[in-house]
Amino acid sequence: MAVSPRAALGVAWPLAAAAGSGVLAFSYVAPGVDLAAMTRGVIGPATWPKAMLLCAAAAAALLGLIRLLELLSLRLAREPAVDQTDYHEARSIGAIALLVGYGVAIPFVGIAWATPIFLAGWLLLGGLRRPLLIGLTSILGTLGILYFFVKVSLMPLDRGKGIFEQATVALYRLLGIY
Amino acid sequence: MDALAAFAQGLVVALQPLHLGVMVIGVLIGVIAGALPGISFVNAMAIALPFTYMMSPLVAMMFLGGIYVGGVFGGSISSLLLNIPGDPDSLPSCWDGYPISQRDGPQRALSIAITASAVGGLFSAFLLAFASPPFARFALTFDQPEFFAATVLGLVSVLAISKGQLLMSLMSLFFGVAIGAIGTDPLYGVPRLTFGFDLLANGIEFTVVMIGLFALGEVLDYASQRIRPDFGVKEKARMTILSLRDLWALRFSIGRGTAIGSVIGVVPGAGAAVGALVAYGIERQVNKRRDEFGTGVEDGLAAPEASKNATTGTALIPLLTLGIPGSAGAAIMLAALMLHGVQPGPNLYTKDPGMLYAIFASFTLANVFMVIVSVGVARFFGTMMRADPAIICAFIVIFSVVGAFGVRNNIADVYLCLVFGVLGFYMRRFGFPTAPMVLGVILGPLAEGYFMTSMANYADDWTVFFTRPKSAFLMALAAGFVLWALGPELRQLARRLVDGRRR
Repeated sequence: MAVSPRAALGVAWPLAAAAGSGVLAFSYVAPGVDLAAMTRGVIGPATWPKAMLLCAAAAAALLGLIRLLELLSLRLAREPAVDQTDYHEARSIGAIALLVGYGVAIPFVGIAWATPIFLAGWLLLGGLRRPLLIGLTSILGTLGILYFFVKVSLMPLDRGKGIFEQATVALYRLLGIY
Repeated sequence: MDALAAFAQGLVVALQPLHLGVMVIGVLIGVIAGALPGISFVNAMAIALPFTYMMSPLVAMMFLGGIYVGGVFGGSISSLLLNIPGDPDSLPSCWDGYPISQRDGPQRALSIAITASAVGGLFSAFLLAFASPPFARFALTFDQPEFFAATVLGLVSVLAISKGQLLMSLMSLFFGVAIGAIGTDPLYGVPRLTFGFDLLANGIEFTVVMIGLFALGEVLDYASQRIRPDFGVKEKARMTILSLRDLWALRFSIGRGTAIGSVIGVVPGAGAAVGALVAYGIERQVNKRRDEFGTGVEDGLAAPEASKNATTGTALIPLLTLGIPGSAGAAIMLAALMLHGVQPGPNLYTKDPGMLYAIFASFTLANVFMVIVSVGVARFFGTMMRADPAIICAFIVIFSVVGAFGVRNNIADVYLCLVFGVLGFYMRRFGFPTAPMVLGVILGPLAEGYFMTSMANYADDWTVFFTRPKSAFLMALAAGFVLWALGPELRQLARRLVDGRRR
């Protein structure tokens, strides 16, 4: 019987999740803490998370076993149900990279400078090609956000480090929001 | 009479300019978010949550309540104008609503929808105001084991919407509860599941998880799709309230929808989508024109519309009386209350009845203002749809990131939000439900607290949950939920096994 990679993965990941949760429950809930000394009766600080992880492991193991049973014993190479939406892999990875890059950049360059770059990148990724629209949306959008959060909501947005912090403060002063 | 006087007093508070303004802005945000396909009002509520920090608990609830009420209806606008449901709960509105829109014009369909929704919503808001206090008085007799049992019921209620993914929903739920346990244990002061990372020592804020899983996950999902729906509506749609004559003609379907929605709203986890689907299904069974359903029968639009808005008020009854959210929207309102240090439960009715009645009154007003706001949004819907979805998604990301940062003014929350965003995207993509995880993160710490104090108060006797009558009843109800969800899955599995052996 030929097993499709997706069907095999559909069996493998729940079993891996079950094993991972089990290991986590027994070894990493509170490593280095003498739980036995702290436990009163049957209840201790690790009881609840451990129980939840073991329940998750049980559910995952059951799911994996059911799928394994279907796949091996019953010759039902039923693939796990997944969304049938057609995904653009490169765009998907690009969007995640852009998102992560934005988050990582914030403490270094500050929200004021990271945001227009992110906006421009996201709009390009989304298929917009008109430079004026991209430029205006990025700049005016960022200014609007800064005004709303810094001036109106009085939120201390991350200003970045070093020269970027100075540049952010200068920008805030220019906008009259600092 | 006391309740009526308290409600009138609440109305006075709700009509204060600040409160009214915040509620109307909430309704506007909700209707727009609901109407935009791909952006659910739950996302809007999750993104709005951190911004309620600067508000009082009352104003925060009025704001989120406005988004909730407006958002539940908003999805119908795109259902009726584009045949694309703005939210899952607006799906039944497409089936008969869009054909009406095509045949008699969008004005007719929108007018039926808004009138039915307003009737359902108003009835539900009155139920919330007048039925929840007696329920809260009953809940005052609860002790820690009963609250634990009620929280367990809230947790397992998510299985009601597991849609044939029971085990995955359970996994998602338990992982959510485990995520909720990350950080320093409040009773023993022991860091748990922190892996030595300082940023995890203070725990993971459920707001961050919610924004990541709901908002960022959905945006990434939308951005990654190869073919995206075309939102090309170009005409201005007007709507009005139905005449009394038209309303009278639809009285039975609106009445049935309202009754069904009001009951389903109380069921934890069910929410507007289940309410709308059940109401449509029942209307299709009992209506004289049942054979014509799907071709533009007005009762087929009125019933689900009335039902989905009728769930909004009653979904808050278990939330405010027991701390169990009846829907995803109610879960976010629970989060808002907890963020402000307000513990929902029966004690709230004795400690701060003024705030509660103001919330009830605001909820009632929101259903009235929903009509006015929706008329405006429907009129400019075509203009709104001309905005490129990439631009809308980009700003959702910015608001999400800034919102996550604002939770504790800590970049660590942004990192966690991004992690949950990517996780949410892949969970969505591979059919792994996200809602149970969110519910687990919110209710998990509450459940643990009730469990630990029950154990401390009852000498570590875990049978206390099953020997006290009310607790045992709630536990039995929770077990019933699990069995109810498990039954069809087991039958399906048995059928597959039998079919497989025959091959």
